[in-house]
Amino acid sequence: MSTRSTEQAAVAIPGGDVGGHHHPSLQHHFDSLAQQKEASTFGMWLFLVTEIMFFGGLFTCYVVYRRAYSEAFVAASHSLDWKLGAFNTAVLILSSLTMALAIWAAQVNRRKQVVFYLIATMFLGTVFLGVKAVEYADKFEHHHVPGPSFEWHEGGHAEPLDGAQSDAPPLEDKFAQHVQIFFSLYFIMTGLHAVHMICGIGVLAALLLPAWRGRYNSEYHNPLECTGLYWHFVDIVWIFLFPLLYLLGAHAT
Amino acid sequence: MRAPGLTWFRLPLFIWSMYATSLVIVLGTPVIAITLLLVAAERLLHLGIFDPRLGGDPILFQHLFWFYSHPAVYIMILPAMGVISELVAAFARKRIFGYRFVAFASIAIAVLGFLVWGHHMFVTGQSMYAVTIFSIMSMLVGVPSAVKVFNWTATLYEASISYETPMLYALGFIGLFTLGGLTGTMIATLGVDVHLHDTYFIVAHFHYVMVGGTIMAYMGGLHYWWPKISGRLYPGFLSRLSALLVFVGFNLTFFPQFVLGYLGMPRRYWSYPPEFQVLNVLSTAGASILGVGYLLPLFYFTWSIRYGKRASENPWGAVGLEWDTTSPPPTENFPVIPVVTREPYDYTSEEVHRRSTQEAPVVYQVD
Repeated sequence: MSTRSTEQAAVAIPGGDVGGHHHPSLQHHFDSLAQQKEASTFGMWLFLVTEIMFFGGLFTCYVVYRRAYSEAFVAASHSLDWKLGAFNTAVLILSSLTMALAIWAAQVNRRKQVVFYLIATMFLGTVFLGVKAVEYADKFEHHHVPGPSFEWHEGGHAEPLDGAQSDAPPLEDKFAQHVQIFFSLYFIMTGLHAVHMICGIGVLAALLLPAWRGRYNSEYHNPLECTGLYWHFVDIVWIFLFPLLYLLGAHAT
Repeated sequence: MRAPGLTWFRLPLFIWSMYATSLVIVLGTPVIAITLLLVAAERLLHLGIFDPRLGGDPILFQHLFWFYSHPAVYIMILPAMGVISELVAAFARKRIFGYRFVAFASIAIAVLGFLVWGHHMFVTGQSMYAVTIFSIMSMLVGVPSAVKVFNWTATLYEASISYETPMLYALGFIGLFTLGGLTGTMIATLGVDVHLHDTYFIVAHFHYVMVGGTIMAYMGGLHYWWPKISGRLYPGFLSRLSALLVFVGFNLTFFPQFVLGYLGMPRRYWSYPPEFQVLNVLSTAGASILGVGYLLPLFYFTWSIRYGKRASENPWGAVGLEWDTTSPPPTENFPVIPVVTREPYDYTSEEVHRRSTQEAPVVYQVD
């Protein structure tokens, strides 16, 4: 370790700001753009690790109840429209492509294309949310939203609730109760995913103006890249959600 | 940014322990976040996840809760262990024995910490296999913890120890943490835990680790870095007295609880049969002494900010980058970026030796 009287010297950092000329996007605590990029990308990955643990807890709940109440889960899954889900999956994968193209456009200095692809990504994200809204409305209509108004008449064997559960909400039987748990997980999982989508669209909107002003180019495009990492992550979460929620028991029919 | 030359194995052990802590925080905290969100959704939106009346499983909640909350105790103890490594080296004036072992022990504790949460749930009816594995993994945590304790002890061997206030806290830590850790392996044993579960034995155990461990290290670290933080020195006699009061008060508070718990007094009850009266009174008396021990520093630290003697750059004659800058440090810490050319705890080098003998540390002002 250096000691008080020895070995203290100013250090010239290669690739740092030479002669006081800062790159306008270089923050003062970084030595070079490359170091700044490495730090921000690493930070983004760390954030995504926390996101994986966050959704991981949710998926753990899903796995536990899927195993415990598998029949009810299959029945409930059949009430979802897999075609809408598949359409949304395609929309999201396409949006990941446009996101990647936005980063590519910045890397090859095509300013207008950056803006175009950002808008395309936002548009596809909005389409996804729109379809989700239609699906949610359908659940409300069919009383598939967990709570006092929850109803389930679409099959499954009725099994009376035992006495200890008499103060439970007026559900006809245990099967309906287990179906309700599926829908609880459905709403929390897709709801949290949708919140992530909305945040992503917000961040993309914030990038639009700087992109229009040519802030992102081959030299500097950290914000685009980090947003891209986030967008792809949200996309991947959906890739897991789609089969887990929409395609249960498909092999049985 | 790291200073030039500050490689991984030149990092102070406190930084290593903070690195291990960060791993636990990054991986553990999101799980309690989603758990709280699920509980909130269940309460507010009537989504059944954990409530058995809605078909949910409360044991699942316990799993998610302890998946975070057990590693959370390592979030508390790992930085404390880092502080102790700093204090022991500084006041034994010796290089830490087995630096790399102590560093990797922190990582090992962080990793193992994620695999033992089931030991909080021995009586929830989990399977015998789960219980066996959780029990074995919990005992394994004792290995890296013991590595640390043995290495601190080995560092003290044949050292020129000075009993400054921070060192008193550090020595207190080593003793109390060892007791807390050993009782930990006791209750990691399934048969013993079934008897001791939810008794005062558990309360005593985790207070020996969290208060005897973490708080002792916190107080030691505060007394060690106070001159650096505030640029002021504090009274030597009073601070040594407070360390003594904390140690005595702590043991008087919590040691009787080991006995109470072993005799069967459960946690979370205010009333108890008359035969437990004496031990409970001892515990209360100890808590009062402990309170005085904790309040004293509040007074003399506050006093020192205004009236304390000004601290030099390096009042303890310690090595470490922070002791190379002024007390308190300027904005951005160093006027010039320092270059690190040495291992940490380089107390045997000629220069440090000269400094520690000729410039004998004048730490306390004369009372």
